[in-house]
Amino acid sequence: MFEMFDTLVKYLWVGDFAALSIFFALAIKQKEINSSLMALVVTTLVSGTIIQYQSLVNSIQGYDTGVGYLAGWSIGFILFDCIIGYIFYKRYLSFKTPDKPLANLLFVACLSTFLFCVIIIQFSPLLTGSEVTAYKDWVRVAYYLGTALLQGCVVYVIHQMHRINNMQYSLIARMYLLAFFVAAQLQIIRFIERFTWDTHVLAGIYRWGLASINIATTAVVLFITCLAIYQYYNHHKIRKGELWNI
Amino acid sequence: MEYIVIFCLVILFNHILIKWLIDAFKDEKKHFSSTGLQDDLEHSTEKVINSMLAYWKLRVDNARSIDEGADCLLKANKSEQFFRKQVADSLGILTAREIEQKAVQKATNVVPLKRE
Repeated sequence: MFEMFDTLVKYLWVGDFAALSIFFALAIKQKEINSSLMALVVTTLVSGTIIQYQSLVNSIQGYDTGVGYLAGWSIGFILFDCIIGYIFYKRYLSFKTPDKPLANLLFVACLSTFLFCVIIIQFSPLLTGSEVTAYKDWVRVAYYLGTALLQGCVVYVIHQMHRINNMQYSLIARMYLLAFFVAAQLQIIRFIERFTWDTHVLAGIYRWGLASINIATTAVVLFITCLAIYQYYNHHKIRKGELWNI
Repeated sequence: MEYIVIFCLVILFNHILIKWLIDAFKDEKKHFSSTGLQDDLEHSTEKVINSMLAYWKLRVDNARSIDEGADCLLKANKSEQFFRKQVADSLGILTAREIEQKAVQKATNVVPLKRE
């Protein structure tokens, strides 16, 4: 059963990417970066970074088994994501309406994030196969707490972006905040379990919980994207300014 | 010791996250825009109108005749109406009559024509 779930999670990026592309197109037509698009871009970039970070930790862990070369790939992509995130943060604060180059840059960044993550996920069976006992504790700290910290970063960035731009939270932004908060809690709980008792009692909750969060968020995002398209083509029936409050 | 440190860090981390979450889920009533456009426009319009009124007040005070002063006052009134209408058109909040009333009220209050 979980294998089916796992396979589904691997292809969720298609739905996320479709939603992101549609929101980009709508934002360029509306000449406004709205809360939903911003949340999608932030989560795409940071989720990509999280996947690369986890691969990095795993590849360091499995260095002896010959998959250490993947660390370079992950580090390169994390740097790329950081630069894009920095540009997005700086430019977006000064430009309220999306200029074409910025929108194109963000779109290409999100596309490459998806592609690079798809490629690195193919290597995940190689990466998780080994466990070096010498750095076991440090690897656990880096893996679980690092991931929780990055997931906390999503909450921070979305909150800051809304606060600075005096923006109302959309449903997608709120949902992502909650999802990443719960995911961070799962990471912390799993870390405490492994760090203190070194058991696998909560392993099921961790795996199923993360998979469920991923599937649920993508389903909701796709549903809201359909609503946004509907609203865009029926905007004359909706009061001005309420178009994006979904 | 390690457990205490981890426990404190987790509590701190969650405390900050929950604070941001509560911020996000607070029901803020911003009716007309999702991007703070309304606040920005109103704020910048207030600034423009204030500086414009100050300019016309100066012109009225320094007018060489009553006619010139009255002309300046009329221009101030018209400009204010124009700016308010722009904002109202962008936001769709005020009716034309309300704008007119407010503009007249403000112009008569702010720019007194007193020539000795």
